[in-house]
Amino acid sequence: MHQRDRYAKVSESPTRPAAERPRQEFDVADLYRGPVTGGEPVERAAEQQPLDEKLRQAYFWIVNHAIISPFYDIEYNEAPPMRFTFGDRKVAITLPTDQSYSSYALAPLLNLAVRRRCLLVGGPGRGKTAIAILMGVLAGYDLHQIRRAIQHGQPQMTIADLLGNPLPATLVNAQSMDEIKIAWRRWLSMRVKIIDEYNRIPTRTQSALLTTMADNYAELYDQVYECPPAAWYLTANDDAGGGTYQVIEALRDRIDIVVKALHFNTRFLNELLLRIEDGIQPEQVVPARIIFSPEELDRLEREILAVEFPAPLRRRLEFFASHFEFFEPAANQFEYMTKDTVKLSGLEFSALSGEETGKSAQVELGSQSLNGFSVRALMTCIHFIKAMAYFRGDRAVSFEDMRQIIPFVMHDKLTQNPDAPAFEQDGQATLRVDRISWIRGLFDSSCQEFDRLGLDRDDPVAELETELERGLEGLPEAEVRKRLARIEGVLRDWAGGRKLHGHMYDDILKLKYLHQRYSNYLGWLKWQT
Amino acid sequence: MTAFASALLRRRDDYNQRFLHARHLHRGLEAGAFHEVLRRHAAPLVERLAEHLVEQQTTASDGVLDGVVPPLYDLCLQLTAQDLLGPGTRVPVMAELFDRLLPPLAGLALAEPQRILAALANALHHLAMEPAADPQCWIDRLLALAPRLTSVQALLQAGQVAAWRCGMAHYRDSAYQLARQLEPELLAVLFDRPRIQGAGQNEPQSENTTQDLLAELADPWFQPDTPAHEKHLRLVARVGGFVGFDGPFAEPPEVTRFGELLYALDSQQTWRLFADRFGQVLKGQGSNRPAGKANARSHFRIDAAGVVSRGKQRAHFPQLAGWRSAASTEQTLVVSLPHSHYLFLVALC
Repeated sequence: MHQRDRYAKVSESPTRPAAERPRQEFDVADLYRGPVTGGEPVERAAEQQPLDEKLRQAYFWIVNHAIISPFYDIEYNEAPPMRFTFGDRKVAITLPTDQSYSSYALAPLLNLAVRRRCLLVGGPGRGKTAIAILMGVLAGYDLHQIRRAIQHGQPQMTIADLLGNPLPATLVNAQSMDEIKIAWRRWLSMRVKIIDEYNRIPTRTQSALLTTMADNYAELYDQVYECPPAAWYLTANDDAGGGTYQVIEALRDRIDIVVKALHFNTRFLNELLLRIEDGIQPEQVVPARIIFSPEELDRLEREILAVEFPAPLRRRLEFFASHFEFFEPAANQFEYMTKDTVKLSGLEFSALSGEETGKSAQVELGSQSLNGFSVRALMTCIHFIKAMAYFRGDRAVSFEDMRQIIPFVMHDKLTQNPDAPAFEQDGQATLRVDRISWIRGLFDSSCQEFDRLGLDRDDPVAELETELERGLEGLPEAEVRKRLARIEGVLRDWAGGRKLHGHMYDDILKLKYLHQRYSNYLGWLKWQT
Repeated sequence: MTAFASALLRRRDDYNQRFLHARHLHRGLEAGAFHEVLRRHAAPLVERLAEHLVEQQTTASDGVLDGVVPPLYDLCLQLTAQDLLGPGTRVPVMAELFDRLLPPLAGLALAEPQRILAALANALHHLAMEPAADPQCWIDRLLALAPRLTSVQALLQAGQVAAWRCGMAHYRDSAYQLARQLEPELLAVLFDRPRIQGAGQNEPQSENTTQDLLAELADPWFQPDTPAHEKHLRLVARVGGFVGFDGPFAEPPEVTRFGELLYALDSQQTWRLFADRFGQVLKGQGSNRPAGKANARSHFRIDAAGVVSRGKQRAHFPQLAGWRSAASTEQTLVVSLPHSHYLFLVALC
C-alpha cells in the first residue's frame, strides 16, 4: 500500500448530517469496512459518494490535521447563538449553533472547486504557501511536482523564467516565428497554479502573468500555449498588494477571492512542538480518499454551477451591488453619474464629494467606496456563493451563503473610501482596517434597507421586468401603452421629492430601458399598420 | 532473536516513521501502549506465522514475513491509536483476534495479510459495537470453520454469514444471499448441521440437505427441533429498554409498520427493527418518521387481554394485556406496552 494511504484517516460518518437522514440500507458487505483502513476496497462507497461530501471530507481533514490553529470566521446558525462581550468596547464573540468554517481552509478549497484565482495574504510563516501546496496535492499532484511548479516571485524574474524559453536550435535556424519551438514551463500545464509572493514580480513579467491568468494562455515569440482550466493560488505578505513592485491593477482585478492567513494561536504551541518532533508535514500524508481526479474536478464545477440561485436572493444581491457605482456629482447626464466617470477624469473624489448633498453620508452606503462592482466581480460572487451552498450539501443558495461569501470576494474589489463620514462614527474606525467586517456590515445594512423598503413584497421594477421577459410578440398596442404609462407612473412617484440613492439609480436606468423597449415596439406596431 | 524482532529490525526506520505519522494524526497515541500491543499481541502472532512457514517448509521465510509484518504493524497502530486494542481498549474482545482467531488462520493470513487483517478487525469491531451481536460466537464459528477454509474469499464470505448467525439481524437479507453461495460443508458448520458435514461422498444427499437448510433459514423463526405440525405462537424475544439503562428508548415506544418494515418510535427518534431467531437489532433512523403512509394491514390479531391469533393458531400472553401499540409482518408480531420500554415479539415457531 502507498505510504500516504496508511494514515488516511477520513471521517466515515457524514461530515454534514442532513436534518433528515437518507433511508439506510443494510448490507453485510459493510461488515469489513470500519475503523481500520486498507482492507476491503472502498470503491463502491467512493463511486457513490457525492462530491460535496468528498469536498467536506477534504475540508475537515485540512482543519483537523493540516492547520494547527483554525479560526471559525464563517459562521452559520440554526438557532440564535450565544454571544459574549469583552472589555470596554464590548467586543463580541459568538458561538455558532450550526456547522461553521475557517475561511483560511474553506476559501482555497472552494477556489479549487470553481477553479478561479485566490490570493492568500498574511505575514511570513503563516502557511500561505503550505495551504496552496495542499490544494495541489488535493488536485492529484504529488508533492515534488507541486513544489517544482511553484513560481517564486523575485525581482529578477523574467518572462522567460515564467513562461519558457525558445529552443536555441530552432531559434537559430528559424526562417519565421512559426518555426521557433518553445520549451514551455511545466507549471503552465497544471490544474493548480501557485505564484508565491506575486508582488515581488517585476512589472513587465506581471503583464505576461496577467495574460495567462486572465485568458488562460501564454504567449512567447508569437507561439501560444493554451493552459487547461486551473485553480490559481497567489501569495503576498502585504495585504495592500505592495511589495518589491507595485502590482498592476489589472492583475489585482483578476484575483477572485482574498483570504487572510491569521495569526498563530499560542494555545496551540504544543501541537506545533509535536509536529516539529514528529518531522511530519501534512501535505506528505494527505489521504488518497480526498484527492480529486481531473474528471471529478470537472464534475464538481458542473455540479456547483447547477446550484439554484433563488430569485429573491438574487434580488438582494442586485440591490446590494446597486449602492456603490452611483455618484451624483460626477456628471450632469444621468447615465454618467458614476464613480467610474470621476476615476477616468483623473480628478480626486474629494474634489466633488462635497457637492453631494441632501443625503445622510452615514446612511448612504455608496459613500464608503471609491468604486462599484464590476461584471467580473458579480460573476465571481455568484460562483463562490453557489460553491458555498454546494459545499454545505444544499442544492439552492441560502441567504447566509451569500452573506458569508461576499466579503471574501469583494475584499479587493470594493475600494474603500477611508474619508467617508461613516468611519468617523463611534467604533467604526476599525472598519478602515477590517475589510471583511466592513463589507459584511455593508451587506447587512443593505438588507435592512431592502426590508425597510419592502422590496420583497413590492418591487415595481421587478414586476415590469417580469412582464417584459414574457415577450413582446403579439402584445397589443393598448397593453403596450398601459405598460408605458405604468413605467412613467413609477418614475413620477420617485421623482416626487425622494432623494436619489444608489439603488434607485440602477432602477431608474432599468425603467428607462424598459420604456425604450416598449416605445420601439410601439413604433414598430404603428409602422405595421 | 525472535522472528518478529528480526522483522522489525530489518525495516526499523520505516516502522519508526510509521509510528510518528500515526501519532501526528492521533495525539493520544502513547509509545508505551503501542509497545505493549506489539509485545502482547503482534509478536506471538508473528511467531506462529513463522512456525507455519517452517511447517510448510517455505524458503525465504524472512521475505514472506516482511510482507505480513507491515500490515500487522499498521493494524496494531490503528487499533491502539483508536483505543480499540491495548491497555485502554474500548473493545476488549479485539485482543482475541490476535490471540485466538488469527493463529489458526495463519495460512490465509500469509496469503493476503492486508485484506484479512483489516477485514477481520473491522468485522469484530462491528460485532462488538452491536449490543445484539455476540462477537465470541462469531470467533467460535470461524474457529470451527478454520480447518475447512481453503481460500480468503471463502473465509470472508463465511465471516459475513457468521455475523448474521451471531446476532447481526440487520444483515439478514444480504447474508442469506451469501449463504446460498457458501460451500455446503461450511454452511453446515455455521448452522450446526452435522448431517451435511462429511457428506462429501454423497453429493446429491448433501445438496438436498443444503437446500433444506436454506429453506429453513428463509423462515426467520424456524426452530430446527420443532416439526411443522407442532408450531405454536410463542413469545420469541424482548428487545429495547430504557435509555438510562443502556437501552434505546427515552420513553415507552410505539410500533408501526411502513411498507414491509417495522419501526419503533419514541419522542426522540425512529428505530427500524430487524428480528429473527439469531438476533434482534434496533437501528436508529433519525428524528423524522419514515416516509410514506403507515401500513395497518396485519397478519396477527391481538385483543385487549393479550390473546394473539394468527390463522387457526391462538395463544394467550397475559403480559401483553393492555398493550399500547402493535404491528406485524407476515412472520412477526411486535407489541409495545404503556409502561414498558421494551418491545415484545410474537411468532409462530
